[in-house]
Amino acid sequence: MLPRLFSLLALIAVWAIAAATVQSRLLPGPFSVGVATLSEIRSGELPFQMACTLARVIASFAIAMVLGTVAGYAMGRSKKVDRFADPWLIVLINLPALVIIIFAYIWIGLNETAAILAVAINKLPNVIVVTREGVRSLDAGLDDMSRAFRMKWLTRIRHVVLPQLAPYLAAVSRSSLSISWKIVLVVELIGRPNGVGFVLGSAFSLFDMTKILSYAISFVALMLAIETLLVQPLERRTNRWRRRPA
Amino acid sequence: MNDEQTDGGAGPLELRIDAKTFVSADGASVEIVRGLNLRLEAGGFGAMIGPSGCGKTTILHIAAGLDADFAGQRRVPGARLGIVFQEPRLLPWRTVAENIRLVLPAHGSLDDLADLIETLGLGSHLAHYPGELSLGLARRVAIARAFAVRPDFLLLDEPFVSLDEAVAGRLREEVAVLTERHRMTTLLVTHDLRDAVQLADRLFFLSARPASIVSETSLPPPRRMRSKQAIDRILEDLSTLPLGQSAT
Repeated sequence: MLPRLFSLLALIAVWAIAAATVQSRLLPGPFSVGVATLSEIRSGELPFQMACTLARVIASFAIAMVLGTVAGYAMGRSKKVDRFADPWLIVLINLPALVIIIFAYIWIGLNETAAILAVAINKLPNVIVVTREGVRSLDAGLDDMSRAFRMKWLTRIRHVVLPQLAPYLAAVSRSSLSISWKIVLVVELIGRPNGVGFVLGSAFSLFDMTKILSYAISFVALMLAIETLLVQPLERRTNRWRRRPA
Repeated sequence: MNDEQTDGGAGPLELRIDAKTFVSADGASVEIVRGLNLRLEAGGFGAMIGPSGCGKTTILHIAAGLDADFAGQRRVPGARLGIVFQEPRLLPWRTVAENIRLVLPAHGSLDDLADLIETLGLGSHLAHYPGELSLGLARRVAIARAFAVRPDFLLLDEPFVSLDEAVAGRLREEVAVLTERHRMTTLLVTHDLRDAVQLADRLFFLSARPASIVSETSLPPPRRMRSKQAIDRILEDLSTLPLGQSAT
C-alpha cells in the first residue's frame, strides 16, 4: 500500500512541477483542480453528473452481462447454436463502437434507451466470447454427477456451473466495467444533455482544462473505489475455497 | 435406438447392450461393448469383473442413464440412483456437508443422515472443503453422497482403487454394512476379484474389448462380512471354473 501511495504522490508532484513551469491556462496545477473539484461537489453539479453517468454504466453493464452470459452459455453448450450464432458474433465484435452508437441514436432516437443499449451492445460480444470459453471448459465429470443425482436445474446452475464460470465472469466484468464507462462518456458526448461525457464535451468547447481534469479524475477515483470496495471483495469471497491449504 | 424403463417399485436390473461404439479422435469407430446381457435380481449385489480398459466404466455410465447412445435396452430398479464414480467428483467449492446436502431431495436435511455420516467417520470433516481431504476421505464423502439419497439402485465404479489396503479394507466393510441397512440393488464394477467376492452375491466376468459377459456365478449368502477364510475358499473354487481371460 505504501509504495502505491508514494508512486501516486510522485505523479502528482510531477504534474505540479510541470504546471508551475508552464504557467498556462491549458495545464492547471493539482491545487487549482482540487479547488475546482471541491466547489463543483459543493454546488451539487459534480455528484449529479456522475450519478447520471454511473446509472448508465450500471444499466448497460447489467444488460450486457445478463444477455452475454445467457448467449455465451447457449453457444458453449450447443454446437448447433454456436455454428449458427458465431457469424453474428464476428460481425458484432468487429463493429466499431462509434458505428453502434450512431445506429442506436438514429434508429431509436436521441434518448436514454438508445444510449444504454448502444453501450450494452458494444460490450455484449466480449462477454459472450469469454463466457463461451468458460462453458467449454466446464468439467464433464461434474456434469455427469449432477445428472446422475438428478439435481434440479437451479441447483446445478448455482452450485455446479456458476462456481466454475466465476473466474471467467469476474475477468469479463472487470474489463466490462472499465470499458463501458469509457463508451458511456462517448455516448453522452454525442447525444445526452447530462452526464460526465456531456460536461467534458462542453468544457472542451470552452477549453476549460480545469473542469475537464476535475471531472476525469473524480470519475477515475469513483471507478477505482468500485473496483477495490466491490469487485475485489466479491472475487475473494467466491475464491475462498481455493485459499485453504490442500 | 434404445428403450428405457424405470420400475416404480423395486424390479430387477436388466441391461442389454447389443452394441456400443465410440468414435475415436482420429475418426475411427471403436466397438466397446457387444452383446452384453445382464440381469440382477431386486435387492441383489452384483459385481462386474474385467480387465482394465475393457469398457466397465462405459457399461456403468449406460446403466446410470448418463449415456443414451447405445443399441439395446435398459430397465433399472426404482427411481433413485446413487452413484460413486471412480474419481470422487465432489464440488471443490462446496464443503463436505454441502456436497452431501445438495443431492438430497427437497426438504432433505443432514440431520437425518447422522448414522451414515458416523458409519463413514465423516463427522469431523463436514466443514472442510474437498481440497483439504485425502483421497480416502474424499472417496468416503462420495460414498456418503451416494447413500444419502437412499438409493433403490446403487452403482459403484472401482470405489476402492488406489487406496492402501488397510483403508480399502475398512471402506469395503463399511459399504457392506450400508448396503445391508436398506434394500437396494447394487452393481459394483471392479478389476479386483477380492473386492467382488467380499461384497457381491452375483459375479459377472467380462471379456476384453468389445466387452460381453463370458460367465456369471452366484455366491451363497450371507454376503456381508464374509470372513477371510470364506473369501479364500470362494476364490479357490472360482479358480477351477473356466472363466476365460477375465479372472484376475
